[in-house]
Amino acid sequence: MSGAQRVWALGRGLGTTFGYLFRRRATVNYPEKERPVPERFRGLHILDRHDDGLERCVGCELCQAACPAHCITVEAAENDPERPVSPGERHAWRYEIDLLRCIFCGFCEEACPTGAIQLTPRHDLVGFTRSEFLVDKRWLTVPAPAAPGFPPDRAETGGEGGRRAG
Amino acid sequence: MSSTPPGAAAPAPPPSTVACTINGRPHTFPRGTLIVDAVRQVGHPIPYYCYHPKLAPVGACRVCMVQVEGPPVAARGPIVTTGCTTPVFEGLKIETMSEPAKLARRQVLQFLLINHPLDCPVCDKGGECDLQDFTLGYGPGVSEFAEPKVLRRKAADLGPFLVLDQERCIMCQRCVRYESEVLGEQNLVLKERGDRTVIDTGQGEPYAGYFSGNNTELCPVGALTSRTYRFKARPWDVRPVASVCQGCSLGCNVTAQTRAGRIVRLMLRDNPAVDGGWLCDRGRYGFGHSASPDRLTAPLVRRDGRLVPASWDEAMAAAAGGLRRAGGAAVLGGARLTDEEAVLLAELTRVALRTNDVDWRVGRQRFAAPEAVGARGAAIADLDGADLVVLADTCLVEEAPVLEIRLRRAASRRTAVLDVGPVRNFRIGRSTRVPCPPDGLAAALASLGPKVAAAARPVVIWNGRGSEDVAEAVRALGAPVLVPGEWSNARGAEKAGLVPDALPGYHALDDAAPVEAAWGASVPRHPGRDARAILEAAAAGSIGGLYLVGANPLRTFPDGGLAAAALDKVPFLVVQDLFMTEAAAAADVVLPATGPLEKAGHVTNLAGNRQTLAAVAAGPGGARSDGDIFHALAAACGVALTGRAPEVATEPVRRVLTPGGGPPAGPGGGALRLLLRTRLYAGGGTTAFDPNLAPLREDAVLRLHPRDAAAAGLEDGGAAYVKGGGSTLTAAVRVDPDVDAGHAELPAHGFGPTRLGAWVDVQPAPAEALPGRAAAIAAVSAR
Ligand code: SF4
Ligand code: SF4
Ligand code: SF4
Ligand code: SF4
Ligand code: FES
Repeated sequence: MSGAQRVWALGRGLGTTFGYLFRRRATVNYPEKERPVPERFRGLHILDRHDDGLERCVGCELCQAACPAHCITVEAAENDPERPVSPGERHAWRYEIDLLRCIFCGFCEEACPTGAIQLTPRHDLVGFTRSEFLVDKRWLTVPAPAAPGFPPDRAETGGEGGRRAG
Repeated sequence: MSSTPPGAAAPAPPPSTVACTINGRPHTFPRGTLIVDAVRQVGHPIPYYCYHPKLAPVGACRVCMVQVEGPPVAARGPIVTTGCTTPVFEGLKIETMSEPAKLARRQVLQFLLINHPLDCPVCDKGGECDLQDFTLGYGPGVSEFAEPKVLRRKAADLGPFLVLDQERCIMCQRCVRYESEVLGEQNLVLKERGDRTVIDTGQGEPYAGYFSGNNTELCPVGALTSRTYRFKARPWDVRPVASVCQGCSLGCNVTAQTRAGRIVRLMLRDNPAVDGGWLCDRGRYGFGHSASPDRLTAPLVRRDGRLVPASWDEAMAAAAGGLRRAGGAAVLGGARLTDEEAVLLAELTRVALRTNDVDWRVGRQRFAAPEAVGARGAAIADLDGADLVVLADTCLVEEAPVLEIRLRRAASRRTAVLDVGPVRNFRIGRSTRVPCPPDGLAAALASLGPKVAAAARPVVIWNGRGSEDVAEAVRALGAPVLVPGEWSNARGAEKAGLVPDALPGYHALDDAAPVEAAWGASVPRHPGRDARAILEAAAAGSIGGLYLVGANPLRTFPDGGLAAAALDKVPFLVVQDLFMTEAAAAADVVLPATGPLEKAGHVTNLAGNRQTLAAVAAGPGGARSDGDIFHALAAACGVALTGRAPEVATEPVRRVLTPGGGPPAGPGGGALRLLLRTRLYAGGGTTAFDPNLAPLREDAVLRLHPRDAAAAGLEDGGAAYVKGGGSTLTAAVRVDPDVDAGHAELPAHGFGPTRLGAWVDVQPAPAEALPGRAAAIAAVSAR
């Protein structure tokens, strides 16, 4: 390669580099800035509630059965008719997902007959220990509307529900 | 499983076979085979709900539709009919997957779903439901029915075990037919008509029988489910383990299902030779003790008068030291061990503790194997073909419940039952009562000699209780004998030599050579003392240490006063058990053992069937299996156990019986003769501590004839003081016409009654006097 050719190649390479200096950047300043994700992005789970505040989950364990990563644990219990957790006879007193094993396939959401478990576009999965990724019902369940007389979240008021495992 | 349901066989023509085709392939079947059985046998799928191999066919659900074409209906061309009510015919062409058959099934399923709530997500049957499976396999994808559904009772409470959801019922009537055909009871019935028809108990009251749980396995949908399993697991969560129920000496075969190491339910595992494919409720639901928070979890040693937790080494050293002090040791219990553990205990007693003072008979049963009294043993299945069954003061439904199902079945056909004894023990079919006073059983049995001799296939059922002359009378009848015992593995204990007058394998004490050869050690030759003599010696202070293995004589020994004095006086007491029993509370060393669902081994049932026990659950952390404890205790005594069982003697030793099975005769005597009877929910073992059985437990329930109750001014559901032998017991009252006048009946293993004398007086007591649990029972019976 002649000297001129070398200079030409160097110039072209640097040209590409300097060219990008003046284009829009591909990276964003995460976490100060977040890149928008598609609406149907499958990120972190929530357990949803009905409009009246009752939990949608009835503890049927279908999500657990559908999960290919075996990372869901559901244990059901009977509702106290006076203070029901969910509509009907049955609710989940224990609901845990091991997010480190989850492959975010969304099968759980698809299996759920009540629309309780949903994958949201949230994807800020951070933590310092493994046990932080074993999320329980309290972590997953969306907050109850703060209306007077609203059935309190059983996960907080006692029973075995809501205890953090791990 | 029988291929032809009982009652289904057409009036039997000479045995022959018929040739027909199923889905185009030729097959031959015995004449009278139902199409549904034939199709199942050749391995083609066919849906069915009301059909059940153990019930007579009714053709109620119409889902087993098949297309048939051939001689009997040749003129009509191919027709669609129910396979469970039509037998195969010569030349019949059966099509299970033809379009007309598929259409018929699809339409039937659509009709079944019209009023079905479709609450699979909250239904306990989800995942193992025939309605789910058959709808997926044969049903319509969508329903054409848009009208509102009929609403019925949901989650109805039918007592402590059953939950009924009337909306989910598909009216197959399996439950109703099981009740009447198998049990001869009517605990569940059909009510109302048309689309309002429901299953219910007669008046909506709690289910009253002992066999309710079988309904939950018969019900093809989630209409009848178990309370103890309610919402506990899904079929895909559980690990099934085959084991054997140790609730009584029958040893029904079960499949235990665990979720994350915890037992969630027991299901039947059909063994035609033992249980005939049924379980009783105590067996099915009595697994709660395994995970009970009250279990003993660490060895306890008495220090400064208090029982304090200790390490196993400390406890073993303390136990070994105490049991070998002056006066010698005696061992009571062992009839709840496995066969292997019983041999270890026999070796521990003979070789390490150097005594023959060992006896499993801490209750009223004296013999376990018929051979031990010189009688012939019967097989359980012998009941099916028997023409005469003598019930020698044995209440099967309380003592070996599932055996009673078999006897009821036999009695409803051609078996005559002679119900001998002071109370009525059997109520179904052709049974004749032969009343006798409590101490007149031997004479009453002797009087039946000619009848038994005239019978072609007689069977005697005797619970191994009573004095030597009863044993003699049973032997003299000459018929094969079944001995439903008080403990789950009494036969294993007896065979292992946990008796004072015989060595393992029924070797006589002076025929010790085979035993010594097996163990490689010498054994003592002098005869030991039986349970009563041991307790008497202990009460007299002449025994150094007493070792109770899964035994609580305070509850079970007929003379509770003697047992109390013995445990009080004995200088050193070791108790090995699952729970803090009354005996354990008095002990110097308490050793926590694992229960029947937590250890592997073999057990011998009342008919000598040797069955395999599996460790289903782990048991509490600090507990050890009885076998491990025996090894450790022997090691602490400086002996290594071999655990080898000697060969059984060719001429088994006939054992001598010391008298005194019944309660002691009370001084002065009262007006009513006390009858102690085994009651299913008054057990002294795990039943007393099982949370699942707690609602039905009956420790102190006094049963009286209406006349005696009226004379004493007692009412059903009230409370009574029972006085005798210098002590008083407070009991809930049940007026029961089945108790003969002049008798006061109490559960044998309830705490307290064993201190009363043979004669008692009863008086009304204020309701507050009842202990809590008995009050609860009184409330139930008054309902
Ligand atoms: S997204 Fe997939 S892997 Fe994750 S919990 Fe749901 S089913 Fe399991
Ligand atoms: S989240 Fe849905 S599928 Fe999972 S247990 Fe609850 S109701 Fe059933
Ligand atoms: S309760 Fe169950 S077994 Fe009984 S009729 Fe209904 S579906 Fe059949
Ligand atoms: S009859 Fe006896 S062995 Fe059978 S289930 Fe009942 S308690 Fe268990
Ligand atoms: S199974 Fe044949 S009609 Fe029900």
